[in-house]
Amino acid sequence: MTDTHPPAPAFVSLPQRLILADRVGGFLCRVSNRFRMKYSVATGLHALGTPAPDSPVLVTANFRLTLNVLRSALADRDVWILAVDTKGINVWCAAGKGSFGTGSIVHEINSSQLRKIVTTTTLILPQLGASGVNASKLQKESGFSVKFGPVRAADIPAYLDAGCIATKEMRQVHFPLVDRLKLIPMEAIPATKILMIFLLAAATLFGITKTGILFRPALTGVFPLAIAGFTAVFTGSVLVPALLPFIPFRAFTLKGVVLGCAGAVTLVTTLPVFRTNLFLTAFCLVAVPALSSFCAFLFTGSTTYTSPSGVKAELKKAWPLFITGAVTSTLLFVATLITFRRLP
Amino acid sequence: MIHRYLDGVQSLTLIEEKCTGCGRCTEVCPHAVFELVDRKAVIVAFDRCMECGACAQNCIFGAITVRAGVGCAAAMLDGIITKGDPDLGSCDCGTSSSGCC
Repeated sequence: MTDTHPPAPAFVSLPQRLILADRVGGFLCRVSNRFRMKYSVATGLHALGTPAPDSPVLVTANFRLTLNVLRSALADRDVWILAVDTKGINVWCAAGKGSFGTGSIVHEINSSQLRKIVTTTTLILPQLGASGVNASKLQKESGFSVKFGPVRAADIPAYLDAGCIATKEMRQVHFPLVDRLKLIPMEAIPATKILMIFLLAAATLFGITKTGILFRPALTGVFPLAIAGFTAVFTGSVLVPALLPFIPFRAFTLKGVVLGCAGAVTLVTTLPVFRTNLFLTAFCLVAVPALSSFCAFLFTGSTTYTSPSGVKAELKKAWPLFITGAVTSTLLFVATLITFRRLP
Repeated sequence: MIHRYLDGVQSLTLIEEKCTGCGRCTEVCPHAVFELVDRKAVIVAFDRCMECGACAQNCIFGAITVRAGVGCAAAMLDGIITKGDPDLGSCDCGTSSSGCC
């Protein structure tokens, strides 16, 4: 005989204080995509502290980093946390892609048998989940009344204390320096990886002779290109995110050009190697701003305020310049390569 | 420090006649684009809209429309290159399935 009874309602207890492993995990999420994509928690109901049946129920994603932020924000509170299956993606992104949505929340309410554990009639959703969740539909389908909590987890205690009322300030997304700095590794690391492939190819071209690839010309040839490349990635993927609001222009491509030009001019004026060959000088002055601009443009995906219409408008104006920059840089590289060969 | 992106390009619209003044849009908008004035929603900061779609998703009276999406250059370039449409791309910051942002 098979057992047809549904499993007894259950929940997982979460430790309230963050331990070293949580902090290490948080750090690794910022430097490795592969790690971040697997940093998830079990879906379903979690108990933080010792919640009573009528304690608040907070709904969130099953991304462990998100859970950790909630744990540290609510370290002295007793609440229920319902983790919805977002495949380990954060709330805002998952809401944009539909996995944090009305349907997935209803599904989690049912499969966790939430109603058998809590008597609370209100669900508190993260405000940034609103782009994926239709609150009134969720209300109808789940039977719970739905409230949107504040944007930041740190504001949740004050929000709860105020009787689930968020101030205007709590409802606004910011993008402070500390948040921008956290995003830099995932901008700079992938860009550096691609740059390394190009540099390796360039080094090979510089090193090719009739008798094979020679190490010395490969190294001396690629050296200035490497400096130029790393400068561009540094200005576009590190300095643009860090100094974002202080750089002239609103378009990210222009912010990248501004810092890229500054970087290129600095290289040409301070490092004699960039003045040994006119083509190399020109390459530096074209390629660095162009690559920096492209890197800066890619940062739009990580910000909290860029609209798709804006990115599209920017791309429309920028793409002919990107193509021109890439073609010119390639030609100047080839010219540098040929003239480099003629040197004794 | 309020960050500002490009002005005047957003697709956000608000049909005043359909608005009942429930205030849901002021609650969900992460950039305080809306305010309630005389029991009607008003767009007070059009250029701050990032087209996340939270307002339109939650306006049960159909008073708000917006072409919602993610303002991500990598996703847009991916869409253009792989599908010929900037709106159909996904960015490569995730390795599995639809992963990301």
